[in-house]
Amino acid sequence: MISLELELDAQDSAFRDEVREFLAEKFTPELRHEAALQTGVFANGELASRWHRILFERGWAAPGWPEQYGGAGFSATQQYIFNDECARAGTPNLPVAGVRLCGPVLIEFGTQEQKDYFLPRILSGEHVWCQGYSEPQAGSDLAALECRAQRDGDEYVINGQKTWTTHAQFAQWIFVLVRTSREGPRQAGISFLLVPLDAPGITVRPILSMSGEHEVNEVFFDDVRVPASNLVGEENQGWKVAKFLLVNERGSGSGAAFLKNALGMLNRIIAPGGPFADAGCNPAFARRLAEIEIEIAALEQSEHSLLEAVRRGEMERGDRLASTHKLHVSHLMQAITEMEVEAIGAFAQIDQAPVLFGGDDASDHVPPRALTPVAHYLNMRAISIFGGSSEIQRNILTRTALGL
Amino acid sequence: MSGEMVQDEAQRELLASLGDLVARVLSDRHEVLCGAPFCRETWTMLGSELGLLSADLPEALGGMEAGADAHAVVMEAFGRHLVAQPYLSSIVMASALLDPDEAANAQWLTAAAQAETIIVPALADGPGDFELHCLNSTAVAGPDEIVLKGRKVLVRDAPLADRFVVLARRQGDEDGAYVLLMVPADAAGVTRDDFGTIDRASGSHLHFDDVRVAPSSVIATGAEALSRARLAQDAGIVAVCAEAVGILQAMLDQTIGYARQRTQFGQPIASFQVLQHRMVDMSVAIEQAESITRLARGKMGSADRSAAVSAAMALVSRACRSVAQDAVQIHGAVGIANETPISRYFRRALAIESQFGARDYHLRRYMERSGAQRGA
Repeated sequence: MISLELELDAQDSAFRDEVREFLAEKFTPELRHEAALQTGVFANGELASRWHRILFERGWAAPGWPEQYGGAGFSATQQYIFNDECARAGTPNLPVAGVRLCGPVLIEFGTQEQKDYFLPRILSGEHVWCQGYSEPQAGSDLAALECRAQRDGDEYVINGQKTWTTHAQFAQWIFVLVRTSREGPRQAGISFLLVPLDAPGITVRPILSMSGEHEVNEVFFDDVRVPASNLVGEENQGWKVAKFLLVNERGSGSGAAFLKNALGMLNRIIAPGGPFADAGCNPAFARRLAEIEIEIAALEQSEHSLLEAVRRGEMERGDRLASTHKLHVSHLMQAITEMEVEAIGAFAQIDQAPVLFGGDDASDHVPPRALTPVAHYLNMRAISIFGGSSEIQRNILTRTALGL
Repeated sequence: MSGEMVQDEAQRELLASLGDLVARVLSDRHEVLCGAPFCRETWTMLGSELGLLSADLPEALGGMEAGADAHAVVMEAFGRHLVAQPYLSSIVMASALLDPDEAANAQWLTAAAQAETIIVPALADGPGDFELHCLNSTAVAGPDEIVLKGRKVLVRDAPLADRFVVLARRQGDEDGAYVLLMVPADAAGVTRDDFGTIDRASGSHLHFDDVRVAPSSVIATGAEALSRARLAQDAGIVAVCAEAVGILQAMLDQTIGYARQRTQFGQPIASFQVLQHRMVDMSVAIEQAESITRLARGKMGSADRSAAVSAAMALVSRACRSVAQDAVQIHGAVGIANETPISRYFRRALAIESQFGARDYHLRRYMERSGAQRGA
């Protein structure tokens, strides 16, 4: 696997050593073992919280935040080094709703009270967040959302439903896009609200994925009251906040790291001497693996360039590349998980959900490496759908990359 | 390699009426058959009440003489409706392993068709033993009995079995010779490690620890035993390909239905050209899968059999992958949820991809068997 040849000065070299020492000490064999069993897009709530805590104690929970709010203050190169080393080690994929989505939104649009209250708690992991965007009739067409927030004195009263809400079962807070006006274009009547999940009137209902895993939920709001001070930005300016959130998620450049982590899982499955080593020796399989590696290397190079561009303020290129990267990441992640399934051959027929998610003991007849691939593959069918489907990304690129 | 498939008028009518019978049964008994787990009562109903399981058998055994064509009709319908019954094991593969002209075999075939007994093949030692070397399954023949020892890993339908047809190799006398044995599932020494499958069926890893069976358990020996086992595998592949065609067609129908009624951006998503073309591609892949399956079925009696069967499995596997993935993608997030039918069809299609060996394996086998008229 070819990696970026970075010119590391003495300082960055020392930083890389620091990260490696940190991982050697804190990413224990126990954590490593648990992380290797993760089949979802993100690590499950409990493991994620533990790893987040460890990063927080090191001051590295929010690499992208300004230092004044507790950000790690990494340079672009250090950001790359950090992501790369974590990916090689196979650390848990942390959920993004708090640190990467809500945090930057509050930093940009939040009142001082909101920043003072929420940012430290996102950073420490005391508050776990989830993202309330999609609704049954509003998926790709998010502006079709109907969840209403009615102003009543110094409160908003929320009624409606969100769906596909990742990790609502682990979260204490949800940020929601709500409809506060029906006048004018649909986007113009949307607001961004912060809601505690223990507020009366909220019901969280699990949605089981076809892997058997519980990652997403429906969240029902029945006359839920929140202080009007939980509004972020101005009323009916929520769409602008939502767009900022989208833009801001770019430039953190961790798609390649996400993929390298998965590649590590695949390589462990086909490790020489193991029960599925034959897969790696199959020339057709090896060729496909080589192509994936090459594409990951290309993506890594592109992400690094994007990171540099963002830091220099070249936003237009950032827009185009963000959609391109999402397409690459979706395609490559799905390709990797397909190969994981192929590697275990007929063992793919065995349902491992009872062991992975139901607490059953693993069977002696099934090699441990055969546990995760199918659930991983099934879960990753979602990666080309969530976060802006591949079709939507292509629509964006038609405009931004082709000018059509 | 060309396909030859000539059906006379009588055969066509027979298959049409079988198709009607199957469709009626699936409609009338929808709750217990379609997307429902295996149930012994349901299987008994199919066999003894409805006579659906004997269509392939000779008239002398109460069948319709429809042969492998009957299997295809039934399996495709079962695929369409996600029927999880042991038809593949107990009817398709058993009929390749047993000889209807031999008295004891005929009894077993009839009993299976009546749903009185469920026969499950345990041929390969496990995944990776598609070539049937069976090095882990030995049979030592004594004067009064045969002692079977060994392991068979990943045997689908094994928890449902009343009997196993086990392929083993002799030790001692006629060392290495193949033998096919009919072994009662409850014989002393037979143990199972059961598992559920991703498509809501079941299987086991089987252990045979000094299992003693009577000499009358021998179904076939030597080259005949191996030949029947290979035939059973190939018949199984061709039948599962037919099932896959049904699965994929159902997925396409559901996708079209979903796309017609799902509106975003003010219109049904079925009106977007990108999705229309994708659904067209799905239908094109299904047509191809159906054709190669028909070709392979026609080749079952020919010298090209192995090449044709592997060609079918390889191409159908590819269709299973692409059609299922497109179906879920077009369904959007709804396609990922366990409670949506499409996700269950997706898992069945995925299981089919590895049930009889991977696509890569069958491409290699096709290359080997289709003659050396190509460069290295």
